[in-house]
Amino acid sequence: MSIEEKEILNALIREIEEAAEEEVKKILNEAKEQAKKILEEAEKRALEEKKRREDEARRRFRIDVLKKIAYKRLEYRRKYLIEKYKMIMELVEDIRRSITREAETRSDNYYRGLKNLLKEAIENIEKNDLIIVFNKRDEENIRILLKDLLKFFKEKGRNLNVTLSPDLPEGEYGVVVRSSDEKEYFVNTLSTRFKYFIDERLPLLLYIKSR
Amino acid sequence: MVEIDFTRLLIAERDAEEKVEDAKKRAEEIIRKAQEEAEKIVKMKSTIDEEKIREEVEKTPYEELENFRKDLLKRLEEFSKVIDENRENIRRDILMRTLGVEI
Repeated sequence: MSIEEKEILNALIREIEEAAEEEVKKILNEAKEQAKKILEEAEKRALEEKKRREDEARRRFRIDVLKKIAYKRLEYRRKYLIEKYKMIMELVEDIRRSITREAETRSDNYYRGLKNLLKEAIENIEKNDLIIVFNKRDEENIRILLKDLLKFFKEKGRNLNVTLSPDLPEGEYGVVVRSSDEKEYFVNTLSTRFKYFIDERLPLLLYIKSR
Repeated sequence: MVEIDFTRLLIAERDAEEKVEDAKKRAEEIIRKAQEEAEKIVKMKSTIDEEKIREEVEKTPYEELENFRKDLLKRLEEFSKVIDENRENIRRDILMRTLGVEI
């Protein structure tokens, strides 16, 4: 082989080697670049996944805690209402005892009131033939009160024909007035009035006082 | 006329091809390792501290619950005070109306 041939051959081999090295470099660079992208993508994916997991955990824990808290709130409110109810019932019982005491001792207030109850009941019945039901213990006083009331109503143009009936049960006070034909009646017993004022008046009093 | 020794040329080409093939295998290995590393990164960096999150999430609602409880207690105390301070007036009001002294 001549020198010229050797040079040509060497040149061709170098060219092949250089091309191969270039190709190798290119392949490895691309691989490194791709690896870098894969790692960058992984970092990004990790952050997204972390955020997704955190959001999911927050949502799960929030639901759990809200459930627990809802029960606790109900429990606290229930206890609050029970305590409030006890306070109110204690007050109600206190008032009930006062009323019973006034009625059983036949206090001045009771008889002053009895006259008003009787008058109010009669005023609310249109008929003049009336039956007045009361506690047997009040009979004497009812008779005395009626004298004044019959006179009072007569002056108002009503001639009342009254039948007395001491049939109110023991422990019940006040009066029930009904027309003889039993078409009208007016219950003015202390228990009825007490219930009415506890239902209607007490909330108003407590509301005003607690504002 | 110039005569080329094709045997050396073929050997050179084969060596070059082997180098390229070897490079391709190394490239695949680089990518495979990167993928493995990526999986580790995702697993490691996406791990969350559930206890910490639970504490964070529960803190505000439990504070609100405690405030609610305190508020109810305060309201109860106020209500009790109202009843105690006005017990006599309320008792008298209902008593007199029930008896009919005040119609």
